[in-house]
Order: sequence, then structure tokens, then C-alpha cells
Amino acid sequence: MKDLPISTFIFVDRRKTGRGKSLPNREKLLKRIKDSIKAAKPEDIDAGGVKGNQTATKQMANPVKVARDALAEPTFRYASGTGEHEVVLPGNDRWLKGDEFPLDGDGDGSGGSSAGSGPGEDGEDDFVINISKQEFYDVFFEDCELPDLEQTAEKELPEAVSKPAGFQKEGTPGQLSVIRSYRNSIGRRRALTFDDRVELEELEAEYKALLVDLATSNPEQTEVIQVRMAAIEERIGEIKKRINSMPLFEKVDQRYRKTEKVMVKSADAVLMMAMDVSGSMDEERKRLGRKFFAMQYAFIKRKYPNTDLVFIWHTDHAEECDEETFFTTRMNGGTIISPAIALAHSIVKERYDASQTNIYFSYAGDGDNYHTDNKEVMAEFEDRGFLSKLRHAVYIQVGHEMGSSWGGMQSGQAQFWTSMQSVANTSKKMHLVKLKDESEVFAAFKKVYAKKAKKGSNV
Amino acid sequence: MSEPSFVITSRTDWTEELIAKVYAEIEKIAYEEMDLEGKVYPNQIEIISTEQMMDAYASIGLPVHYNHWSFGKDFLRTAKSYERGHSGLAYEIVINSSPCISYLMEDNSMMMQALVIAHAAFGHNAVFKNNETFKQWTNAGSIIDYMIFARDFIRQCESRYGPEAVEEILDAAHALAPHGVDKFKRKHKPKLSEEMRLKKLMARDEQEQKEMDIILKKTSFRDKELDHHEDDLDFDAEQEENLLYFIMKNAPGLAQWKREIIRIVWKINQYFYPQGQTQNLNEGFASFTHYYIMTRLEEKGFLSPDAYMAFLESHAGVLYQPEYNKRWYNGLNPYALGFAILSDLKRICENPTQEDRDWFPNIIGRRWQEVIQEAAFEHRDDSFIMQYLSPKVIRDLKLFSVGIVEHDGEQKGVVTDIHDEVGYKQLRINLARSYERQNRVPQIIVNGADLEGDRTLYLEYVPYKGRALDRKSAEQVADYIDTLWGYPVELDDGEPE
Repeated sequence: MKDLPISTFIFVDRRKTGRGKSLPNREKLLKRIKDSIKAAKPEDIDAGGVKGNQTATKQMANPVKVARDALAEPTFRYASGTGEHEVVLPGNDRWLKGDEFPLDGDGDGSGGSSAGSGPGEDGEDDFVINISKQEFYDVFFEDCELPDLEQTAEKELPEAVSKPAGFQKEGTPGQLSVIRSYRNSIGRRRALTFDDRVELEELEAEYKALLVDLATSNPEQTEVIQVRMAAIEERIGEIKKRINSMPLFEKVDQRYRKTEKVMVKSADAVLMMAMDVSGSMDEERKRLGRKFFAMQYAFIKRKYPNTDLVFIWHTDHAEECDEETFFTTRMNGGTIISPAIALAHSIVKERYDASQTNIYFSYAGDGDNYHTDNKEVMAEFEDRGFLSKLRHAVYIQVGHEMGSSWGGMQSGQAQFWTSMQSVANTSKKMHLVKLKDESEVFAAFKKVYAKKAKKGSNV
Repeated sequence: MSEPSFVITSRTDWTEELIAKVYAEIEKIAYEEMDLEGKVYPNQIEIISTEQMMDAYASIGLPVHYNHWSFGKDFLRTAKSYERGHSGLAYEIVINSSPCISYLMEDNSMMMQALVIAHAAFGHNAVFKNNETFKQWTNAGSIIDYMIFARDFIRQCESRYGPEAVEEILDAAHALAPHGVDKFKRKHKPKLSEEMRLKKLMARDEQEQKEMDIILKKTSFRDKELDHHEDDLDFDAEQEENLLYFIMKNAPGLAQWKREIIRIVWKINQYFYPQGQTQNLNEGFASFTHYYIMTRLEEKGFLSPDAYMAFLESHAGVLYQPEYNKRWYNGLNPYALGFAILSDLKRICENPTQEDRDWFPNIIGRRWQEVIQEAAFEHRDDSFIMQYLSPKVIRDLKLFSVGIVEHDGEQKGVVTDIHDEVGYKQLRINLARSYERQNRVPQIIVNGADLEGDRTLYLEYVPYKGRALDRKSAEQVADYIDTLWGYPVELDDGEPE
């Protein structure tokens, strides 16, 4: 044995200590995402353009966009595609001095952006923000509730329902998620076979080129080429064997479905939504109404999954419809509101027992009612007792207000508003909302469904 | 020659004892054959888990850092990319500190640990200790203490002024971080200990805040006592490039603790400045070192042939340079370029051709150890490439140069030079220039501040090669500057509204 110099280095096994160092950072990140969603501006919430088979909730909000904006880390940078650049590239395969070099496609793509403008491009953060729609709505509707919801006698026992809650690394065989595990397996195998695949691609390209050469070669060359081709075949075989021998599943790949028991309040509730879709409701007005309803719909689906939903559209007559039709239909015709209210009332009478069910009603329209009909609407709410069966009613007037007077007369819209106001004056159940602009939708929604501070709670 | 006292095969697992033995052999080669004796900081080798490696990435490699959401974002990005197999974790992180800390991942084989020790604990370590840029800008002996101070200070501020207020300042300062760099040497070392400074600062701030509530101060804030001499650069307020510094010094009515946070961001950024300026030579020297040492370990019998093969595979992976038209081309690989240049210098010292004699008359006949250290220790990337990129390396990498010009709002590319006699010189110049800072970071300067009047801060973009400033991001950054400055900020981006 020879003498080794006494080397002085400090050896530290850090594995036991100093774990989770970036945990506070991740918590801060989460908080920032949540805050940004709560503060989401209405323009980030997209309920417009509900089309085809997409349901309202799918269209409603874009959590990725909201969070991406909040997580941007802007710095001064050059605008891409401007000014002069001199880029040095490796691997010249055919270029001569003076050649025109295409900046897209076959080029390197580095033309537009200078070397320093790496991170921060749009889209990059999308995979960072992995909060699900569910979580998004949890946060979004955190401070909202259905007002005055009462537990009805028969259904006081809350039900526990198992709900999917992501994935975990351990679990029983029955919970194994094949798709998720397979995805991890693909990732692992891709990472571990990267070099092999690069080589494989190169060999296959060379092999192809040789095939071409073979066609035009003389006997002497042919022999050389064939030897090389045989060598390539052998190498390709080896590589493929190695790639294929990579175990399909390893322990680290396995993901198990995680479920959570969620207590569901099974108070019987029904939310009725009615909307004017007549000719006077232009696109802008319909969009405002749908936006409000879309939010309401998502809210109810999320927080009160057992709630019945009833959709009604009307012009000069009213019809019950499914949600798809409700969010997409366009009609022509005049406006008479009372049939919608009457239809809602008759549905309640047919299907629900007001003493056993929490019933909510919202109506959206421009309020341009046929003038003699206002009395009918009031009568339906008050004299015929529709309002007494409701927990809560909302009238949403959409669109810019029409001229306040016309030939000394109040506009139809203003008259209807006055009628609704008189209903609201006699009952706290009736709430009035004016929506002139999309930017008001979210605030209006929050106002209607804001959680009331519970008595005795010291929040 | 005696039998080697141990042999590492490709299947050998690491043990603490084996690491000590390998370390001793690596050190011997580094000292005796590479002339590195006395040229490295003492080493601290730490074993960490994969998750800890991601943690380390997320705090830009420092073992201690203050907390901020953006580090959480970095962590998730790294973790996701790793999980999806988009990237293997680079196998090493090393910290420019004394002792120099190198991380070894627990999952690595013994061969890999040896590779990382050679690469990081000797290669990078020597650059940290000897390279002029690092010597000028960083203080390896105090960085860890400073980071502890920074973390604690920011924690204190969070509990005192609320996490939101602290985050607001950090967000804004981070947006300006690329513009928080001094390019001129500082004059003095700090006088007060950080602890003392901190105490004075907090005491002072309390008073400061009370006064601020009552009257708006009439003059700009200047704190003679707390100002460090080290901060007093020869700076011309009219042309200041270090925006963080300028704001820290001159923002009217900014609370003292906020100034201190800006100072922290500036200091940390300044500490990392040399790394951005020396990537090619730093990774090149580290790769050259590991390649030399691993090859010698094999020759001496400490590495079995299969372990050496496994090493070569990893080495080739790290140094892989895809061609410009490959799908995964992502710029020149600093490991590949730096290693190619340094390896060729060794060849030129040992077996010069006529071409080498024409191009490198000063190198011919010298010891390679000396030449390579000169290249790695006395330069930054631009001068390193300018001086040492040889025609052979240009040919091997088949470098070519594309000039992109804007014409009628559209960009056009023309091949300006290729790897031939006519092209070598210009290619070298072009490549060196592409590492100039201004090619990557737009230059923004302070063009005066109306401290006596309405306190407007005037900023100006210094036009470079006809490039425009990206307006959207510029506006976002300007908002952040507003936050810090507190009064109107005007940015002249050189273009009509």
C-alpha cells in the first residue's frame, strides 16, 4: 500500500435533515394562485361563446389563464422578430456563404429570439399550474352560499359520498390507476432511453441513406455499404433490445386512485333559472344573462350537487328546456314575462313541496315587458303566492338602460323595474340586480350569494 | 506499480469510505498532474436525495435562501419536467462558497460520484477560486453567512410588516434583477457586520415610519450612516445602469427595510453575475477536469473498463451537441463548446500543426496545464472564445454564422460565414459577441430623476442593433418600478407611442 495524502474534505449526509426546504415556497405559490383566482377579474371569466355541445361550466372560467397572469415574472426583453442578429450555429450540412437561410421551418428558430430570452414564454407555466377545475371552483366560490338554506326534516342525516381526489403513491391493488401509472412509466422510460433513441434515429437515417447509395454503387462500394448496413442492423437490434428490455412498470411508476369521503348536505333544493330570449335581447344582453347563469350553474353544481335545476326560456310564451338549450337557444318574438313566472310557479306546484324543499328562482331579461303584463307578474309573485314558496328570488336586468322617459312616459324597462322594486319593498326575498357590463357580473354574483356572517360567530 | 487499493466497476455502490478513497486519488491527480494544488477551496461533499436536488435547483443552487413563490414555481417546473422524462436532473450542483459545497445524489453509482467530485469539487471549484470575474465579484467566504442574514431579515420583515408587503417588494425587485448589476469594481469591503447593520436598521425604521406618517419628506432620502462605502461606486446618476442600486439609493420616501430588501436582491444577483459571464469556460474547465481525471483513474486501475465505458456514455451525454436542424437543438451547449476549446488547447500544446503555429504562436511549446488555466482563469466567455476558439474546433463543430436583418418589418437570414479559411476569424468574432451581455439583456439606463420637482424617474432603453423593446413585458416591469419608486416613472423605449 502506498501512502495517500491525508485529504481534508468535509462529508455530510444531508438526506435526513434539510428536507422539504422549498415547502414554504410552494405554500406561497399556492396562496398566490388562490388569491389570484379569488381576485379574478370578470374578463378572465369566460361564459360567453357557449357553443355546440360544451356545457356552460366547461366554458366558464380559465383557471390556467388567471394563474398564469399572477405567476408571470416579467423582465425587460427584446421584442422577437425585430432588429439585427448574428447567430452562430453548429452542424453546417449544406450552407455556403451568401446563401439565404430560412428563419422558419428548417431553420433553427433562434433567429427571432436572442439567446437570453428563454423562460417566461407563454404556455410554459401551464403545466406548473396543476390545480384542477374542482379546486378552482372551491376557491372561486369559497365565500358564496345559498341563502337561508334549511335542512328539511327527513333528510337531516348528511350523506358521505366517495369522490375522486387525485392520485397517491401507495394504495391497494384495486385502486391502481393503470393510465396514470402507464404515463409515469412512459416518462421514466423516455428519460432512461434518451441516448439510445437519439442513436437509433441517427442509425436509421444513415441506413436509409445507404439504401439510396446502394442503388448507384459499383461492386466494390456495394460490399463496403453492405458491411456497414449489416453493422447498423446489428446495432439497431441491440439498441431496440435494450429499449424493450426496460421494465414496463416499476414501483416508482405506480399511482393509486385516491378517494375522499365528502359529506354532502342533502337538503332538498331546487334552483330555477328563467331567461328572456326574445328579439329585444340582443347578443350583448343574452351574454350578460348567460354569464350570470353560467356562474350560478357552476356554483350550484359544485357546492350543492344534489340540487335540482330547472331551466325556462321565454319570449311571448315560456317553455321548460334542458341546460344545453337554455345556454344556446336564440329566438325571435315579443316579450311577455308573466308566462315564464307562471310556468315556474306551476312547476313548483307540480313537483315540489315548498315546506320540504328550498326553492330558488332567478330571472334575467332586459325588462322590456309588454306594458300591461307587469301587473300579471306582480300578481304571480304576490297574490298567487309564488314568492312565499321561495327562499330567495333574483331579478337580473341586463343591458344598458333604455331612455328613462319616452314622450313623458317611463320606458317599459323602467316600469318593470319599478314593479319589481315594489315586490322587493314588501319582501326581503326579492333581490334586484342591474348588469350593464360584463365587468359587473362577478361582483353582482358575489353580492347575491355572499355568505352572511353567522350570528354568534366572531369572524 | 502497486496494485490499486480498490476498483470501481459500473455496479459498485457508493459508501462513505469509498468516497474518501476515491477523493484522495482524484486529489492526487488534480494536484500532481493538473497543477491544481493550492488552487481550490476546501471541499464539502454532501449526499442528498432527488427531492433535495430539486429543492436546490429551486433556490438557484444556494443552500440557504429567503422564501418566495417564484422558487416554488421553479421547483414544480423542475419536478414536473423530471417526472415526465423531459430532462434528467443535471447530476451536479456546486456552490461558489468556501468551503465549496458539492452535492452528490444518493441514487448515483460510485462511478458517478467520482465523476461529480472531479467535475464540481475540483473543476468548478478551481474556476470559482481563480477566475478573475469571480474574484472580482464574489466573496466565497461570506456568501453563506450573507444568505442566512438575508433569509432571517426577510422573515423578520414578513412578521413585522406582513408577507404581502414583503412579497410586493420582492416581486418588484426580482423584475429588475437583470438590471441590478454593477459592471465596475467596487472599492471597499463592508465595515459593519450584517448583524449590527440589521439592528440599526430596524431601530431606525420604526422612527422613520412614524415620521413618514406625519410629513412627506421634502428631500430625497439619504442615509449617511447606513450607506456603505462599498456601495458608493463611481456612479453617474445620469447614466446609471444598475436600476436596483439607483432605486435603493434614491427612491423618495421608501421605508428603510424596503431598501434593504432591494439591496439583498441586488447583492444576490451580483453574486450570480459571474456565472452568467463564464458559462462556457466554467463548464468547459469542469468537463476537461473530469475527463482527464476519470481517464487517469482508469489508467491507474481504479476504474474497471466497464465503469469507464459507463463514464464515457455519461460524458458523451453531457457534451452532446445537436446540430442546428435537430428537433432538440437548443443553442450551443456550453459544456460541449468549452470542453472542445480546452481539449484543443491541450492538443495544440502537445502536437501542434502548422495551422496552430500560425494561429497560436504564443501557446506553442508551453505546458498545457498552464495554458488551460490561463484560458479558464483570466477570461470571461466572450474573451475566452475570442482568444482560444481554434479553426479545428470551428471545423469539428461545423460552425456557421447567420446574419439576420430586418427588412420592411420582416426578418431575413443570410449565411455570412462558414467553417473555411475565409470564415474562421469572423465566426470567432461573431460567436464571442453573441455572449456579450447586451445581446441578451436590453440595456436600460436612468436618464435622470427629478428629485427636486415632481420626482419623476426617467428611464431610457439604449437601442441595440435596431431591436425593439418588448412592450408588454416593459409595461409590466414599469409597473413594478412604480411600486418601488412611488412616483411617476417614464420609460423611453425609443419608439413613437
